[in-house]
Amino acid sequence: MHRDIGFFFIGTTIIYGISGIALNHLKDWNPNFIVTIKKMHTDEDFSKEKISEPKIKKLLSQLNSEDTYKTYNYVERNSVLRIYLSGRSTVSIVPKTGDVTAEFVRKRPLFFEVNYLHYNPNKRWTWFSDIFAGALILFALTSLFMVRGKKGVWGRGGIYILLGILIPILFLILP
Amino acid sequence: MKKYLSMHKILNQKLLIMIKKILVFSITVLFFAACGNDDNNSTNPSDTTEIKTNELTKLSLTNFDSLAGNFVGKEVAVEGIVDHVCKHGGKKLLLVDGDYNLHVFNDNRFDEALSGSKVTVTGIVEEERVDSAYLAEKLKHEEGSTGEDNEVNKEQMEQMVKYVKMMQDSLKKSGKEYFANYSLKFVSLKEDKEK
Repeated sequence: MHRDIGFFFIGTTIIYGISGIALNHLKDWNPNFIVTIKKMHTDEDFSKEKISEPKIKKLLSQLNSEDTYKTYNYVERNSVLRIYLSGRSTVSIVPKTGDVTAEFVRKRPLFFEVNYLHYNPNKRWTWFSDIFAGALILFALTSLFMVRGKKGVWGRGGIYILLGILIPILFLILP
Repeated sequence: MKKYLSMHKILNQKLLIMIKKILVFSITVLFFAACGNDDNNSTNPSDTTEIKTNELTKLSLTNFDSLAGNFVGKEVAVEGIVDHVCKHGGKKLLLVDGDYNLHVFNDNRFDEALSGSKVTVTGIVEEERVDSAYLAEKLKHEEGSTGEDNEVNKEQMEQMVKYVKMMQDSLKKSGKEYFANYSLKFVSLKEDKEK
C-alpha cells in the first residue's frame, strides 16, 4: 500500500515541492509572472479632456501592443492614465510630463501552473490535496513498521526520527 | 506440470489484484478529472449568467463607500474595471473607477483574463470595522514584525507603522468609534464587452 500510494502521489509531491520552494522565496522573485518594463516618452496630449481610443492605439502600436488593448482609467486625481492590455499588462502615462511606462506581464512557465495548484484553486482540489496530505501522514506512520532491526525505529531510524522532530521544535524555541 | 499450474494460478491472482488496484486508482483519477471544473460559482467570463439588475440595487464605485453601510449583508451590483486579480491566490480582485476602488473576495479563483475588463460584479456587502483596539493590535504586530530581511521590507514595515499611526490619529479626531471598510463577497460577474 505504501509503495502503490507512493507511486500515485509522485506527481503531486513534485508539484508541492517545486511550488513550495518557489513560494518560500516570494520576497526575492515573482514566481508566477515575468514582468518586463519598457519606458518611453510621448509628445501627444493624453489628458482626460483630449483622450481618444485612436490616440491610445497609436501609442500602443509603438509598443507593438495595439491588438491587446482593453480599456483605460485615470488614477491619482487624473494625473496618471492607466491603459489596460490583455494578460495583466498595463501602460501608464503621466500626461503632464509625457512619461510612458509599459509593464508587460507573462506567465512564468511551469511555476505558474504548480503555484496555481498550490494556492488551492477550488473545492475539488481542496479534497484532492486533503487526500494527499492524509497520504503523507499515512506514509510517515507506515514507514515506522517497514524496516526492522538495527536500521529500524529502535535503531538508526529512531535517531533520524528524533532529529526530524527536534529541528522544527528548535525553530519554535529559538528566536 | 502440477507446479506449473500452481504458479500460473498464483500469477493470475497477482494479476487480478494488480488490475483491481489500477482500476481503483483510475476511477479516483477520473472522478477528480470529471469534477474539476464544475464549481457553482465559477468565474469564467463565458458563463455570463444574467444579472437580474432590476431586483438588485446597483451602486456606483464613486458613491459605494458612502452608501454601503445601508447594504451590509445584502446583495448589490457594482460596475467597474478589474484593475487586477490577486497575483497570489487569485481569489481577490480590485475593482476600480477613477480613484475609487473596491475589493471583491471569492472562495474560488477569478479568471486571470479578467484583468483590465469592464465588469458588473454582484456580491454581498461585507463590513470590516477598524476600531482603536484593532489599530493598537495592528501597530503592535507591525512594530514586532521582522523588517531586517532587506531594505525594502524594512521600508515597507516603517511605512505601515506610519500609516497605522495616521489612522489612529484620524480616528481620534473624527470622534467615531470605528472606521468601516467595505468589500464584496463575490456572487456572480458579467463582463461588459463594449468598450
